[in-house]
Amino acid sequence: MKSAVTALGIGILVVACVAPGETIQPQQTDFAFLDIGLSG
Amino acid sequence: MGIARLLRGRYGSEPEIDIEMQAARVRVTRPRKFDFKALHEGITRNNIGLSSLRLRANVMLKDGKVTIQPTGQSFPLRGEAADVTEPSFRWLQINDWTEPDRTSVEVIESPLESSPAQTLPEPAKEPGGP
Repeated sequence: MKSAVTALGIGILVVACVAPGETIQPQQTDFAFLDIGLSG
Repeated sequence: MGIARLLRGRYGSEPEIDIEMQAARVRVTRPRKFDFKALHEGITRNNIGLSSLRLRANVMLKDGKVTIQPTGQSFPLRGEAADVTEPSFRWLQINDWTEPDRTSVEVIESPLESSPAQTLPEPAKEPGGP
């Protein structure tokens, strides 16, 4: 049940935050860039 | 929307969350000290686990210590890496983020260039083959 809720939560986040094919990249002007691994 | 809001609030830019890769990425636009334990707690409050944490930052490496510029926040270096005496961007794997006293970092290759999505699948075996 928890996994299903987690998957649903991630799915909603994806729909909300990522346009198809979009990938943000570090920029030289940024202080830093974080790449975070998620798990259910 | 919790994780997106969390990352946006902490790091000041719009994050990207990738369901297939189970990954989130966010640019950190302004200098700040990192609190990885608080980040972990914020993510787990959304019923999602944190499996890895990698940071690209402008750092100096000396005497087994990695110092992020310009904030001066430093972490012990895990593993081998040549000294970097002039600030230079490096990718770092963060270890033991739930225990700030034990948090260490490892210098790694760019995770964005070694994405599993860029690896071709193995060809299917013929039925009855060796």
